[in-house]
Amino acid sequence: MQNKKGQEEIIGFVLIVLLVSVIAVVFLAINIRKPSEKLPSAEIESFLQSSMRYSTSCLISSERRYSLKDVIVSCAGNNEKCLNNMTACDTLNYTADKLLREGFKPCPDCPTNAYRLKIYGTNNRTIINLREGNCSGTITTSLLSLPTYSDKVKIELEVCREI
Amino acid sequence: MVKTRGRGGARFMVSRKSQLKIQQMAFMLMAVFIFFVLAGMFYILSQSQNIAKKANLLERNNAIGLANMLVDSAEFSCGTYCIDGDRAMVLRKKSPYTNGTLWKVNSIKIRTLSNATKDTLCTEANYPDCNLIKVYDKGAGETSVYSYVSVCKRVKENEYIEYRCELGQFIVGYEVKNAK
Repeated sequence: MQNKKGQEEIIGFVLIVLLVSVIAVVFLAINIRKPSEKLPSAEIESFLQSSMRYSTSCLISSERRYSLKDVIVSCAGNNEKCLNNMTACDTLNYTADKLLREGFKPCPDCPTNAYRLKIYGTNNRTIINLREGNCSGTITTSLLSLPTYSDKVKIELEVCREI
Repeated sequence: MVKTRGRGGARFMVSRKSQLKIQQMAFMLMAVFIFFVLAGMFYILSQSQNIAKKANLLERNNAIGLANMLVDSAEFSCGTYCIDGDRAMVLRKKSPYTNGTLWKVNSIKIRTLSNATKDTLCTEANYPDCNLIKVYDKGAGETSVYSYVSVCKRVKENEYIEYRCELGQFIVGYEVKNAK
């Protein structure tokens, strides 16, 4: 009788261990599947701030050249036409793409393997959404706010790199 | 089963039984404790990898802070995250900027980003058709860190003098002391 009781207790203990192991595995699976945290980065912030002064190819008059900030404001507003017949939004697309490629040089085997630039106005109206590469690393990010005449434009840049 | 006689024997049996129970309980508690300790160690191990990543990023952010502090120097600056390339070219020839005694870093370089694969060092002869301004360089072994900046120069476009800005990097080289 004593032997049988001991066996019952061991079975009970094993069942408890199994139950706890299953819960632990489920918890681990949920943790691994959770999207990786986006970490704020001083480097990305400096990139965004510096890019705003960039002199674009958009001449609005023979004496005035638009910076990237001016082009973003124009694209969010009345989308003016430059002297080279490109609109502000076209210039923004071209310039943003150029700066991101030159600044980060993403490639699958490089330290930076992907980026995503999103510029949006109030009510989440998307002004531009540029994306390159597949992320396999840590996402570093920064957010910049630009007040305009009638809107508040937000610029969000996420860069994926191996840390 | 131990053979007993009378009441003394019955008490001995109960005592042996209870000792066995206590032993069983002790072993079970120890096993549960060891199991939870192993599970806890496994969890801490997985979390510590995330901490190492954050520590590396923090170190990098701190180093970029050093570069940002130098970017804001009145000698170079033309605003927030803005470097005046023309001023930087003049500073190359002026002491104490050239001997590295003013800023306690090994080197300061300003690179304008472009599609070119090779850097062109700026001199009086080729400026502004170049992309790397070497303010000074002690030439010692170093680690470098950079901050993105806007590099602005005065250029002649048609009949106008234009203050044109491009995206660049302010590169600071510093010595890393090895831990003994």
